[in-house]
Amino acid sequence: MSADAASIVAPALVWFCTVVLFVAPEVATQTNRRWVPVLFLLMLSALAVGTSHGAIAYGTVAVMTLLHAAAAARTSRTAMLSLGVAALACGVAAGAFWMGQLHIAFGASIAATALRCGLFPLQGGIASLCDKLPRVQAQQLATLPILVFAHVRFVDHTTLAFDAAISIVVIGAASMLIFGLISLAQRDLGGLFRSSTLMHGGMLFAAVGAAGRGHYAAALIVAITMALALNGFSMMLSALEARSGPIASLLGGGRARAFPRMAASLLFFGGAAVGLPGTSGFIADDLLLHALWGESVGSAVMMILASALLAVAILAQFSRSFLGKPVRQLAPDLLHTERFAAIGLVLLLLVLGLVPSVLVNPIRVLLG
Amino acid sequence: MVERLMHVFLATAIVAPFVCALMVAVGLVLAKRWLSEPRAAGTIRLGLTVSVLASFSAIATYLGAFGTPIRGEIEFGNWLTVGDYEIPLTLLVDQGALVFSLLASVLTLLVARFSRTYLHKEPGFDRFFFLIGIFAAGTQLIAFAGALDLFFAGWELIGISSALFIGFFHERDEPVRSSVRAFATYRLCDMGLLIAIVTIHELLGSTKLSALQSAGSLPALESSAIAALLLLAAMGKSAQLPFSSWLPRAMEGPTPSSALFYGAVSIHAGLYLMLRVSSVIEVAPYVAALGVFVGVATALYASAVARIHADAKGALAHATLAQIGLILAEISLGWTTLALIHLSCHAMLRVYQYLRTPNMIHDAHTAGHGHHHSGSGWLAKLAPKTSERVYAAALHRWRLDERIDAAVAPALHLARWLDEVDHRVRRTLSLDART
Repeated sequence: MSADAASIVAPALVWFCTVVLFVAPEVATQTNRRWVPVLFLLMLSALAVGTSHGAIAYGTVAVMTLLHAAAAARTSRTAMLSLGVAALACGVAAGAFWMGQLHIAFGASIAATALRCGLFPLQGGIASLCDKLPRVQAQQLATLPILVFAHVRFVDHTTLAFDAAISIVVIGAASMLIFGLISLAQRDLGGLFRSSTLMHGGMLFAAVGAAGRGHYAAALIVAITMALALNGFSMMLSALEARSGPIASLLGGGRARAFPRMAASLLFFGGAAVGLPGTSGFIADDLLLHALWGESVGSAVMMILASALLAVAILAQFSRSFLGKPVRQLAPDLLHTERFAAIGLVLLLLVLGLVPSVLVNPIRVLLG
Repeated sequence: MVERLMHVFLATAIVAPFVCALMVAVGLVLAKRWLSEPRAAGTIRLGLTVSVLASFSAIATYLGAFGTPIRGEIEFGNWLTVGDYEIPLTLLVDQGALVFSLLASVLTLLVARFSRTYLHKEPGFDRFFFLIGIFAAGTQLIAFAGALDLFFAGWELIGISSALFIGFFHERDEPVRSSVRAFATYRLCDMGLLIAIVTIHELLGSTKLSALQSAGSLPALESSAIAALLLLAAMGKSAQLPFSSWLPRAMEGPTPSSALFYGAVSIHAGLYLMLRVSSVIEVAPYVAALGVFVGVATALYASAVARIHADAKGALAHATLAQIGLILAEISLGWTTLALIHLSCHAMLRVYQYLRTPNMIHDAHTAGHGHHHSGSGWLAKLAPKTSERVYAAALHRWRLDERIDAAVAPALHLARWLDEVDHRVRRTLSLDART
């Protein structure tokens, strides 16, 4: 593939993934679909990935992050503040890029990524979104790959990025391990979703750090896989909540008989998040593992351990909520719209898992 | 031309069950009413039959039935290439691969046929056959994998389907708990394989099995570390000490899946890994000695427990474990051909025994052929005190479960403490709490 073709195909593919990430939760929602803000965010995301100017890309990401902050404002001030600061950091990155201050742009971009990933101890905002506003969290996850794309495309080629790579990798891996361990202590699906999101945030941060030493494809595929798997997981939790009441107060298990498709989908998305073979999770884990091993062996081991712990936590929590003596449920299993939304995410995870070169090759050519 | 044929046969052996499993999955998600029992079972059996035929054809091609014999590595390009890192789609055709592939595919097909009647009208009928398809794809993948990345993909598919089979009767608590326990053991031991794969890639430049031939050129410490990590993975999958406690719990699954997983294929997957990486074990004498020790210790432990086990499947599981331990010892001693023969014969015998288990109990009850151990074996005669101690220890299975729980407890304490810290951090920094 030529560099010219890659400069069109790579952004187009990232944008296509973003479209699926935005549209799937809206399709799955039964009431109160908000297509106007989604379309607006989609247009902004097209601009952010399509432009070849870093300042415009970061400026657009700042606007999108600000919109997420505004959406969170009414329910969670913590999330609003966290996303607001992230938006400010993106704005600083845009300004610094405009003035040619790439080191400052890199620092601001890393700060924005840390906040939006929920890196320990900055997890308050993202944790609050997971608990109170899963829909906004789904949207902010959908735009996270765009921030990563802007980062690896525009500011990750500096000497500072190279020098800071190992520190960033170690911080990300430590955060990953902390939340991997925390996931074991969760007693409900909501807690599992929160800790899983934060664990993956650490993973993405480590991947972004490794990108400073040329592992661009790993960073992007981790970002996209994380967003796909977690959005799918969140969608299934919302579907369960709509049928059985607040997840935090769900007692006992036995829902698999009543909601078999929901149970299977939840397990699939959970599996994809921890590297199920055949899904892009497997490729993402494999690529990231090799990237981390090259920079810091300890971080790679932490990543393997965190992923194993999360996998056990997912199966254990799934068992607690869905398996066991059947409970009587009058509500139906996944509706057609929910099924189609889930299938969209599943297909994308499978395609990127079975033919990863579709995404990886253009990125490799574009970013070198 | 002949090489292309081999490409087709190998790809078909792996892909056919996977595609059929996907078809069943799509049927389950989109139109469950369409998916009757005969359709679900028929679809999977079609995939398994095609896989068996492909496996036979691969053997014929290997032996030269279609022209020049095709042996060694078969290249399908790369699954992924990023800079100098690649995941090679390389399959390896040799005696070991063909024996394991044929063994696994034939036994899986037989068990699938048996299950069609055994699980008739069972609520999880479709799920069972879907998992059989995934498992068959995983076993064919590990059988032919010429690179460790591919091997790991198949390895994980086997692990996941195994855990889901243990929890098959998910409306009872015990199978579900056992499933999580087995999965946790798998996943933690798989860390060994994963770290070994990355290390091999970094040190030898490739994860192809052929690259392992040059493991002898590595410093002793590095080759020993890789061998130890691979041994750890094999110990988890093949339930060797100290990871043996999940195997009797795994008997909570349906009998056909117990036969297939813990009698025939899955339990031997760890041994097959050891056979594939035997060139690394050969250059790591301390790890080979450790393998012999673990294998023999497991054989002794499992023999003692099998003799006093009250239920038929549990006793059979420990009898299986004893033989698995011996095969591990054989591989570690370098007797790989003997180990492959032992493995194949053992798998076939155990499938038969597991599938017969319900009938054995029935026969024993109706014909009055039940035998009880009198406890007056050779050990009781030679050393009565020791015999009593062994008997007492075997009764509670050397408290393996309790020991594992005690070993894991600090990690769980740490997890709870970190969870508490996380809550405090979020509470302290939260603006919502103040409003």
